Amino acid sequence: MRNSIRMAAQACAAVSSLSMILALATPAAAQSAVGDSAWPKVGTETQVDFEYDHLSPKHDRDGGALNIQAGQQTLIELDNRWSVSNLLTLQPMQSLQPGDHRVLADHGLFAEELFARWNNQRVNIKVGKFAQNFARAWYLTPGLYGQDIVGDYALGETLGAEAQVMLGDETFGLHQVSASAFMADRTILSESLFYNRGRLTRDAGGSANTSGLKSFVVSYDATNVPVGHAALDYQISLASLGHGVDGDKDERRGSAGFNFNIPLNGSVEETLRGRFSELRLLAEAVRIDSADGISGQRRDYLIGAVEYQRGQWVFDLTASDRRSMDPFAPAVHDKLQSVAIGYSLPSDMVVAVGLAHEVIGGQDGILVGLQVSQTLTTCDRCLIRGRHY
Amino acid sequence: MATSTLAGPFDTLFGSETSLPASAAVEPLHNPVEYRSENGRLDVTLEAKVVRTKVGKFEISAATYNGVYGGPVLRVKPGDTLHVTLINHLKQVTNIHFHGLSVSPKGHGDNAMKAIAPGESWDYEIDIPADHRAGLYWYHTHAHGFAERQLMAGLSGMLVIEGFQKAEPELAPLKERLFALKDFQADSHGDLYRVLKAYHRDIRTINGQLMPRIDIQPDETQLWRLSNQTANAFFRLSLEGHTFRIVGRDAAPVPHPETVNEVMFGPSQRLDVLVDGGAPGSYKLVSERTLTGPQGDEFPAQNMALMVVAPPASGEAKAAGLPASSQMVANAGSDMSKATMTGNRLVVFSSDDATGLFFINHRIFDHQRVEVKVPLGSVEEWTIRNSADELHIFHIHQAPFQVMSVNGVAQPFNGLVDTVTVPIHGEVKMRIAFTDPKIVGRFMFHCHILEHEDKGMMAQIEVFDPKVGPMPEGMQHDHNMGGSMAGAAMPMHDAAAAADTNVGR
Ligand SMILES: [Cu+2]
Repeated sequence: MRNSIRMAAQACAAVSSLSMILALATPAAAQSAVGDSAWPKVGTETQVDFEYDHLSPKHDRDGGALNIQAGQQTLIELDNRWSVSNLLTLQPMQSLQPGDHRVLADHGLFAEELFARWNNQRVNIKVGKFAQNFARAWYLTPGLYGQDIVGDYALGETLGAEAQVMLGDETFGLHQVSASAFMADRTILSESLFYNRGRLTRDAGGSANTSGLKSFVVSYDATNVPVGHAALDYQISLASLGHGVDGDKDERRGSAGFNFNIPLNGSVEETLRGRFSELRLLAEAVRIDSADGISGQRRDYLIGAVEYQRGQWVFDLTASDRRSMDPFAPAVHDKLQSVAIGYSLPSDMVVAVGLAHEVIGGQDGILVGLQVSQTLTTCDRCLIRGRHY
Repeated sequence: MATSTLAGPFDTLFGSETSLPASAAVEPLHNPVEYRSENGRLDVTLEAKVVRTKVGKFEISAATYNGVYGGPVLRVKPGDTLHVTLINHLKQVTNIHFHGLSVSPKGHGDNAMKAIAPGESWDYEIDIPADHRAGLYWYHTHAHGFAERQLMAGLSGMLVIEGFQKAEPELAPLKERLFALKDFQADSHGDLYRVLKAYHRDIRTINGQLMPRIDIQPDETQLWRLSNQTANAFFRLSLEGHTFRIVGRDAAPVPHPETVNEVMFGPSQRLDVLVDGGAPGSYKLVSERTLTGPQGDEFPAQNMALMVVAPPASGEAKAAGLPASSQMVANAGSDMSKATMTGNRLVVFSSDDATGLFFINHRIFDHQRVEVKVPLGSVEEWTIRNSADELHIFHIHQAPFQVMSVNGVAQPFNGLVDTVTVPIHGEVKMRIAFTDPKIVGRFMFHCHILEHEDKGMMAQIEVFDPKVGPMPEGMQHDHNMGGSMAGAAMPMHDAAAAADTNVGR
């Protein structure tokens, strides 16, 4: 959940006024006096980002956009095992193009996730609309622009069922296997309010846009594997996506990646003094064959990121790479390097600035952005806590 | 309503402090109400009741024992019987845990599994062994699912087993001051918030007082006994122009006292520290800003008290100072570093953002399940691993332990403790002796950040007599007494609890 909100956050941009944020803060703060201990427990969390992005392609017109990106998460716990989760997202429905000058334009509100969940801490089953557990860099990569290229391979907007099972005990970390069957969402949930992106139809084609559950993901996730006094996470996943009416072959995907959290200054005393520091390394490779269901189309992705966090400050660097090979067109090599700095305030507000250099379709561009993000929550711990940009 | 809910964010948006100035320190620090044992017995009735309580300029919906926010102090001696009649006037279940005591967890003993239903009462009859370690303990509500808010509302107090100063003769003449340190977050109506946030303005108190004055003479040394009775908060205390000499941790005297500029201690931990008066003047006792990690909590700084150093008024007795060559006498329990271990165990603290649950070994608390079964006579080495981006603080009932290493760094023996904070992505190794026949039975170990405990980070252990074997699964040692948390009489999340979940109302 945090992921999709985070991911969405990258897509847009922001400057904000304090009064606007505090006005938004009112409902959540007032609700927090409501009880949450007897079943059902209802928790909500809202994250609002204001972001301003400026795009300067070298040989084209400048573009700029002021956008809001908001996520509203509701978690209804019926008991210790059953829960229902919903994520409403408000975001601009068009990406920033050279020559654009937009202020709060094209914003649509839609249900990004809506699912029921059953878990007994070893087995976890989800049914409904949710993002598939395929690869992780599309939501874990830090920074304002770090997810711009790898966001491509997120498998969101899908309906299906997923089972995840924990293997063994936690001596060598948490090890889980998951499997899911799904299809593209063509229900009313694929539409959006305000700016309506329109309902997805079968005629629109695309991978997983099938008549039934003809797409599958299988993943192996290892979390908090102790390596010295650092924590390693890794994931290997495979996917097969049924082709749509415009395709001729099922899409095949594979991914491998890791995320390594290395506390540098992590004693209890230094943590309490606010001087905890940590280095995070992230890398992921994804290969897609028969991309979009077209035989011979291939996409290769590679991303690396380094994040350094100290107290309330976060610094990060990312580099990502996409190679597109089509049978009847020259290969295209897109690149993006980004840097960002963020600071968290005690009010759960994060202020961040980012800079990126991109080469997309052979065209160079520079992106600069400022983001102000505020999180409001009525759950002790659901969803997004801590840093979230 | 709107203005009040916004007052917090505005005040603290940029980390501005909400504490009182030195000029506000007028009232002297009071000692809380005390109940002392007589002729080997302390019989006391504690009524858990919702009361409106004045704390400085704030009036909050507190829930206290006998109306005392910060808690009445219970004073007993080794060998005494402590008899507490708890009357539950709340609209939720509650109970009492006697933190740190090595006594029986069964029946009417220190039985934290037992839930006392609204309107009911329960008698705790604790036989304190004649050889029990003297020191500063505390008692508090342990009602799983409600512990955080009930404790924050006030349901806790200090429990002193007399004799700490006798074991350390240098301490005997010193003035003893007790500090029950608590915190709350309330809205403008005085109702406590459910979700604790830095921007809700965390108010910290000493014995229910805001910014009291602490008097000391220039040549005087005082023994300050600090008890962290917050639900979730860590303290990082500093005293302007002064140092602290740590002579006790949890209940145990430390064999190697340490002089520090700031003392840090987490929820449920206790510290005995020596403070020297020094040059006349006024010095602020400050609770410095603390953070518990990237996924944890932040607590802003606050002025806690003002220490006023002044010579004695004429006619007043000269207070005692600490002899320069003081040698602390160790009475800290036995060093287990050479002991033979009968077993090893791993305890993993983790949490799940998607469900909001907190785990021990990837399970939430289940009163029917016993995570660990240990035959009496075992001495075990446990590894506590923190697989989270925030601090967790391990506590086990009934059995104090020795910290052997933190992140692989060996720790010298410095007394037995009942709590230890585990670094982020780190490991603490500790040794526990399950050799005292009095602790046979089922009890708990958990994270003492009560938000985490309420959300599942707790598990049961059973110490069993190897001649008899462990109890059958699902059975409680008090199952025939009615009202067990496991029993049908009062399950944790029943209709009565659902009817009113706000302890402050
Ligand atoms: Cu914890």
